[in-house]
Amino acid sequence: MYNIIKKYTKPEALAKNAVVRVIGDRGSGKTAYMASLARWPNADTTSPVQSVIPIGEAGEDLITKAQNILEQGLQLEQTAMQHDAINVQDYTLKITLKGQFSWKNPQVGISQLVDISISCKDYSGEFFSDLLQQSSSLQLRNYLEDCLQATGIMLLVDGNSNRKDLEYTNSIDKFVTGLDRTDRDLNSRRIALVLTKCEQPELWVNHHNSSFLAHARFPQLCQRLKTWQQMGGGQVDYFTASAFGMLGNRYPEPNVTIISRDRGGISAVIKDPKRWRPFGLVAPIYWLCTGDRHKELDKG
Amino acid sequence: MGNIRIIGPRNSGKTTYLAALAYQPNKDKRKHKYLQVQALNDDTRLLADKAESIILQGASLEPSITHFRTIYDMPVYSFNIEIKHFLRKENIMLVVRDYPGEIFDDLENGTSNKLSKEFIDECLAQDVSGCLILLSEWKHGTDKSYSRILDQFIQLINRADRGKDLRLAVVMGKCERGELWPGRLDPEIDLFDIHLPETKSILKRGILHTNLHFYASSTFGVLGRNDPRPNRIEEWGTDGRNSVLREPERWRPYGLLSPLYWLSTGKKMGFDI
Repeated sequence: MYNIIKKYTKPEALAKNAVVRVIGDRGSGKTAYMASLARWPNADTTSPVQSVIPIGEAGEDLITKAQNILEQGLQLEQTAMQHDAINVQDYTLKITLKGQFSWKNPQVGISQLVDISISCKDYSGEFFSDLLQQSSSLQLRNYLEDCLQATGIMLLVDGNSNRKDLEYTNSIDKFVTGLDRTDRDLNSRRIALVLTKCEQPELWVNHHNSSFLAHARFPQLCQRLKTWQQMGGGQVDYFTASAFGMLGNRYPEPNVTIISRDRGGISAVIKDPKRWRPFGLVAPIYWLCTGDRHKELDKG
Repeated sequence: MGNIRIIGPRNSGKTTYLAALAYQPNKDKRKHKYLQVQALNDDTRLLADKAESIILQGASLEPSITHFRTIYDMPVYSFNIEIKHFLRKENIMLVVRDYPGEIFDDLENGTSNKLSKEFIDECLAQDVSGCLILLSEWKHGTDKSYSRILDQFIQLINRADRGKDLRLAVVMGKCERGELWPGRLDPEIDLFDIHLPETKSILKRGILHTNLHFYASSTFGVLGRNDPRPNRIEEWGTDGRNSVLREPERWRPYGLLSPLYWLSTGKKMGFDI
């Protein structure tokens, strides 16, 4: 009896895991996303996220990037393309957060903590923009084999690059067909489409309505993902995020200085590193792990 | 809430309109206790800084097109507007882009060049909640030309599948002009029916009535409640004649916010500001 009471009243942190691959065009902000997540600067006490702890050498490396490059107001270098997917750095992060009850995960109590461990590979943008076009290349096969281990795919897209909708659709089309062909066990997986750089005003006005925003700005890409979902490939959901976030509470404005804008989106650096507070970074990861949208995390 | 685009012919005062919106509240604290405007990004603050020299000293605003060669160089203005209603406060966020007049004028001959097409695509994107069409002329022949342009525009709207949900606010600008000022109270009948009848009927035919509204606005305003002389004089500026405020301390623009408020929220404001 005592054990039963203990089981329900003194919750131990529940563990959830996911293996994730982060893909996306050059400059979509993949490494900035990961570095910002690992650094988790200026944590908000009201946020359900209790802590983010990077594990191992690769994780330390992310923190270094965040501190020495992003916090100095500098731009990250392009992630180099590795010949073999094995050599791509595998970041491990442990995220502790307050769970939320849902019928999908009835064992998660309201105040119970959930530990999410993700192991995450951040592919070079070249994978998405070039390699996927070379359908017979061995290197691509090698990368796709590597992707099979993943239960979740995070597709990062710069929300300002809506003119490249067609190119993205083309790449994701190659990606999901390639994955289907390589996967003999027909595992189902989740794809989170994350619009990054949503601190920009045109995206920020609709950032609470991520599905609408994704469909409005990338109609063809969303259509392709929907088809993939309907064919039984897995689940798709939509998220908005910003690695740099907003400044101020009452009249929030983007905490970035824009360096350039073009067809491929914007490139920017942090304006005020002391008030660096990203948003939306954990929500897609929670969803990839549990299949649930976390309401508190979605609030920003 | 959503994105708004401002289109209109050259010299219709699109950028001045936004400059006034960005600048006016700092200027006029006493009268606009019920309205507070806050600039939310660098582009907007830059515009507010320029506003002073534009509206008070008559520095001419260069036509927007000379600043950029591609759509990506265009500034995005973003405002937070706090409106105090009778008992409650309402905050809305406006994200606005004003288009170079050339884009509007090009529509008359059908858009063929790449830049115009990009602008129009961007203007009719799904996450744009409405367009503000700012008109200011009614010379002989302009009604014909406006109606041809708007006819084209309506076709483009339908082709982009926005016929059902894109709001259009058609605004007669520079309403401090004596012959227009009394018509501001019912712009649909007293301004558009009289000065731009064909344009109005084309719009009425092509756009759902719930998505179409007519407004009057004046960036400079008049001198006072009982003194309807325009608060504007022409001065010789650096390059030709430009309008400036006649009496800056009596500056009270008219109808700047109402169309933007409706485009953004779909609700009408009880009063015109």
